[in-house]
Amino acid sequence: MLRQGGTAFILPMMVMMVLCFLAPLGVLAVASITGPDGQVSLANYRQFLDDSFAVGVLWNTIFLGLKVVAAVTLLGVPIALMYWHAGPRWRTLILIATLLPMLTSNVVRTFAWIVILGRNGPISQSMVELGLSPRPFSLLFTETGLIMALTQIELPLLVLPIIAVLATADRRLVDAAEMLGAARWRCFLTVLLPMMTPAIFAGWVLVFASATTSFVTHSVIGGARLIYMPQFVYREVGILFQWPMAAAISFLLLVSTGAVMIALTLLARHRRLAACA
Amino acid sequence: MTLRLNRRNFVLGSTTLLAAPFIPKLARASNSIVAAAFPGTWEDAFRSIVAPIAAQSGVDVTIAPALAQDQVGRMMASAGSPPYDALLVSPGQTAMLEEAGLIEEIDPSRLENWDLLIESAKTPFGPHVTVEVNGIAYNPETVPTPSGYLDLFENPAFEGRAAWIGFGSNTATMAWVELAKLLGGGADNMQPVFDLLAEKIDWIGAIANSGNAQQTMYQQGEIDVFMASTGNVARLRSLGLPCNFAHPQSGSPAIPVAIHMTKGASNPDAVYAYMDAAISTAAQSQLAEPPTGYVPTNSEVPFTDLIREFVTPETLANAVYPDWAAINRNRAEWTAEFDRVVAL
Amino acid sequence: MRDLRERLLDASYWLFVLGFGGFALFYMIAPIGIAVLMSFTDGATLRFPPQGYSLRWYRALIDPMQSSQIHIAAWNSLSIAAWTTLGAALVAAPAAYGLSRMRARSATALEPVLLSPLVLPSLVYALAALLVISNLGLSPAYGFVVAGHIVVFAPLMYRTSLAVAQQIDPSLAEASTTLGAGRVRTFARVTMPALVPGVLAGGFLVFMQSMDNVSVTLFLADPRTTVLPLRMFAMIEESLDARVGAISGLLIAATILTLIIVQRLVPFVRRR
Repeated sequence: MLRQGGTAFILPMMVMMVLCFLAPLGVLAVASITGPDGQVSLANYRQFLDDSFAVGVLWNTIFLGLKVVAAVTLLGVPIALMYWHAGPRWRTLILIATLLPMLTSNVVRTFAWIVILGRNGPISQSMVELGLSPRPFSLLFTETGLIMALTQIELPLLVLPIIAVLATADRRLVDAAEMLGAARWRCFLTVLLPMMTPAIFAGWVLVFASATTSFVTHSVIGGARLIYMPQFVYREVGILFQWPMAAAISFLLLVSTGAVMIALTLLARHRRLAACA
Repeated sequence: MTLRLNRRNFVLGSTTLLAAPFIPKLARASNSIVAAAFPGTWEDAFRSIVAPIAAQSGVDVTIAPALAQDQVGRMMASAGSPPYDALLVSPGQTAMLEEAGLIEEIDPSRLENWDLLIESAKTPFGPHVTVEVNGIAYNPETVPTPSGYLDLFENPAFEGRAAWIGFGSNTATMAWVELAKLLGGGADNMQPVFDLLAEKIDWIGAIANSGNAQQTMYQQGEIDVFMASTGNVARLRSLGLPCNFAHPQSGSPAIPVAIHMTKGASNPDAVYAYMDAAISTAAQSQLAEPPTGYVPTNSEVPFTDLIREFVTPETLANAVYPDWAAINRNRAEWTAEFDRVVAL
Repeated sequence: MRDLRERLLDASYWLFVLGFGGFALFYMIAPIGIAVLMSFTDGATLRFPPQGYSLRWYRALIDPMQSSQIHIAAWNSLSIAAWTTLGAALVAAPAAYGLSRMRARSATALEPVLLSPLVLPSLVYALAALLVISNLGLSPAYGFVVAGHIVVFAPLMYRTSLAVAQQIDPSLAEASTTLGAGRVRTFARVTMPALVPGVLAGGFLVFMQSMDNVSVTLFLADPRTTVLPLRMFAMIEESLDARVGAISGLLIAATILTLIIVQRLVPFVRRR
């Protein structure tokens, strides 16, 4: 009886998601295949896909997401390991340090990065002082700068799921391995990493989704010469008033990032199956 | 009797407070309108100078910040019930709005101050409130005075120092059209500019996303030159930054800024009162002072020292007024082409 | 020999964890520190490093004459976030409870629908919602912003509530129904109190995300309603207004404070 009771509780949110989330996306899909005369037409998609520049923007967006995912993994895994080895007090500190950037306003973070990446910012200044660069330089409006900023902004999205897994993990497993004299690296590779893997994949999906669609960071840090899909969408709506085209571009963004995310999820499933077997 | 803050009272009170925005009609006076103004200096000035004068005739004006092109976007998105009662745009947008049937012709007899306007400021869709004069803003401490648009691409002193933006901005669009003319093109032929851009892209300091973003970059010392209105220069100076205004040899592009009444505006009387306030001698005298320094369209208002430093009546007479019809025809194409040329 | 090699390897592991991890932690926090530092500048512009320090921008920010527009925007953001949190709690907490009581198979089938807004770009959703609203002949309004935020952020609440709901002992509710309480009554009196930690943690996340959202608000708000992040962006873009630094400082302080309180009440990560 209670099992069926579950349905009634889910109903409000289910209805809301279907009516207010999936239905508008459906309307968007219909709008994207509507030609100027109201006929069904794939002209918008054809126009986009025939345009090598536009397709390049799509690829750049996906590559940007993947680069950020790689950078975030490289920095996020050590944080998680630090958490694993730390005592309770440090654990709380690491946790708060991770939550803080996630909860800090996007504007605050972007604003800080304008200052950091600028010609007179700390990076440029210290490079000049260390003699690594002959003159001040600006990382604003470069892909490097954008990736640096996005990495900081998205790090918590990867670290938090891993920490959540590690916090509830059974210490004894690792202790046993250590007692058997396994070296640190082997211990990490054979015990800790498999334990973290599902969380890492979950984090990747979130990081990728967020990095490819954070319109504001793209335009403020990336500038006008680095063009990604969200700016494309905004331009079609805000400057050119081409709604069907904007709908088509949004949909392509949705489908292509969706494909990457599904691939990542499948990978995660596969790994988990392998681990079970 | 004591006011007891029990849980029920508290919940009731805070709910009423929080729910207020849901019932906007109740929360506002009936004699109120929403008027758009460009974000930043314009918005502040209209809120602190024009709105209080309109309030004297009992009209409550809410100033909503939006760029000219965004105002058109919002108007097109909800044509049935316009989001604004009054717009603040330039001729390029006026033409688009007129074509889409989104603005009303006005009845000049309902504006008390209409007769005070200079002739060119009287248009069928509403009065011009100012004429912006455009040119080149530069930092006198780091770069020489630019002689014109081409100079920025030829004089090594400007290599890596100038910022440009795309065709979404009116200021930039006018500069590009002027540059095109210098290179043998014009409002119907932008190709020479794109060729120049493709060749000299690494020469340019930065391509920014919006006119406002350039001011931020200027402050941070990222750039020393950008295409600007006299108002931008006045604003940067008011922040204590060194900044000068150069008139290009080819002539300074000028662009009027007009107030329009939207079709279906909730309260036309109030919109007239607001227009009247914006062209009144009182408002325009104040707008002509720092930090705004807007060139008056009201003939009773003298040019202030700040304005005279940049603009004389002769400059206005010799200013370049671009062909907005031609620009509108090509704008979408230019916008797309610009992205392609500058993309990394 | 072998011993030395192992020791070197172990040392490289610690270097990786402490060196890289320490750097990563610093990398994550430093921008926030810089934002706070900048907020105390005494200059008119936000140049780094500040020439001198003062509280002038905090004073300017509090001053109702100079900063009334910021106050209005902040109030709008707070009230939108409050409504969003309430709405999200009302739909997501029961859903989390319901799902935790379902068969695993139906749960896996339904869950993606409930979580989909987390991975779909909110800009695309905002565009879709605006399309529907204008097709219905309506125009953007405050209510739509709140509704949009609830849809986009309810999944966050759902996730934190689900983690708690899965730990609730089903026999509690069973006992209650056996004793004659109706299902609704049981939910209100037995299950809901048990869900509180999850709802609180979720509420915190939803509130912060809603306060921070730009894309949904940008498309769905009427022109009269400005919110804090949009106002701050305008301020940064137009003139790097130094008051943005002060707003950042206040937001960060409020976040840290709430974070510590919430962490005390309901740990985000439960220890074993």
